[in-house]
Amino acid sequence: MSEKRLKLRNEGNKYFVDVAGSMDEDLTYLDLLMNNPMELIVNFEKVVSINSCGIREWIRWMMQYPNMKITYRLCPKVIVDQINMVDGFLPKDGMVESFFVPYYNEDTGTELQILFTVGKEFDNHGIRPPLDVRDNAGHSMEMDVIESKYFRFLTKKSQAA
Amino acid sequence: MKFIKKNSIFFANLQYLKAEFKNIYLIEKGCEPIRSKPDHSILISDQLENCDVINHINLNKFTAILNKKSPYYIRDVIRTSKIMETPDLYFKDPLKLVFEEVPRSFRINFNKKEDKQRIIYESVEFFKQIRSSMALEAIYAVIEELFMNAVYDAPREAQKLNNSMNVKDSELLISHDSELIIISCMDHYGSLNIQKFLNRMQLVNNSGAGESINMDAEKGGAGIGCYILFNHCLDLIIGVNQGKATRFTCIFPFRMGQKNFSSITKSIHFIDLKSEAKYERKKIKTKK
Repeated sequence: MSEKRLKLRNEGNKYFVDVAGSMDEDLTYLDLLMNNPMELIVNFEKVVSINSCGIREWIRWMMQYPNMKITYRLCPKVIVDQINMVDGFLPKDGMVESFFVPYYNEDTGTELQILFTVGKEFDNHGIRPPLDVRDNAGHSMEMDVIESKYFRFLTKKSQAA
Repeated sequence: MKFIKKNSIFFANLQYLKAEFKNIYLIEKGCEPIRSKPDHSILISDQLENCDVINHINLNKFTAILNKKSPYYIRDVIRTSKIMETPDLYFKDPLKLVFEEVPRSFRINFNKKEDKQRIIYESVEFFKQIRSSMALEAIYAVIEELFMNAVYDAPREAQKLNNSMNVKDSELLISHDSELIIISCMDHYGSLNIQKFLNRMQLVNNSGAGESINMDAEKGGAGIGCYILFNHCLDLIIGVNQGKATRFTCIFPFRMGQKNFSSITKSIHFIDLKSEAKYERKKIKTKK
């Protein structure tokens, strides 16, 4: 089961893992063999859900590589929520390269997920959201998060820096 | 009591609650310190934050906390009055507590970890027309945690209590109308310790999930599932009939923005069928 949800490849000591589907109690990282990894880039784009045991298994795997440079990429809201809620889900020196922010139109009920990327929509100094977000029909969309909570992990990082 | 129209039901129920039962506390301006009250009281407030809800219910031994500012406050009061009147109904048919006429719903039985994929698949099919990513995220999260509790945690606790392990299948019940989604899960172990559960919720709430997570898989679950459930619900109802059944019911909006959802203080209700000091009725004065 795990092999369908995890895909690992490498370029020398730099590893890339794609995670998909549900990160749950059955998702094991034991088969992901990394030989002297210096850097790991994790793509969370296709993650649909994560449960409490999945959170634990992820943290346990991250703890095995304390000196590895870790980058999270294309994080959906469900992953951003864990980064904010669970200390250790993003390792102390880990970095978020990109993540999705939900936008919503109260009148039409339309939702969009807008990608925020480091150096463009955010950096160590704060966030710079796009000025005008619209759906396909031209309706204006508003950021649908409580900013102090959703972007908390960025604030923590910039304070630590 | 007859349940006819919504608004009249609300007032009738709130007045009924206050007239019939001693244990209704209404806090409207500020959080006053709770002085003396009977156990198993219900707090109705418009002043609490979510972190306060857990602390109040654990430290001050409330049975339920209802949020007066919730857009579903009327439904919450009606539901609470029904539970106080007939606690058994929660275990037999929780949908009747929430819906006047039960909308579309389905039940699925399960008893082993291999059942999860089937449950997820059928649930996703049932909610196919939902376009709300917030609701879908909550559906996945709630089903995951409720499933794990019924398949792993409940039997483990039952074994510790020397309860019978030869029990009927657990049941997942899912329903929705145009406003609310309900996911309810019942196991037949009845091994939940409400106080232990509350203590755990309070620990995670106060210390953070990262600090409280149980990293030792040999000792069971991660211990933060209760917190995840609470975070995804607007209303959380937990009932236990010791040795017979435990039912968790999660209620959340069918369609709502994340920001709106995050700003609503949640309601919570515990039902312990074997509790001695239940909902204490006021004495009725009789003419001689």
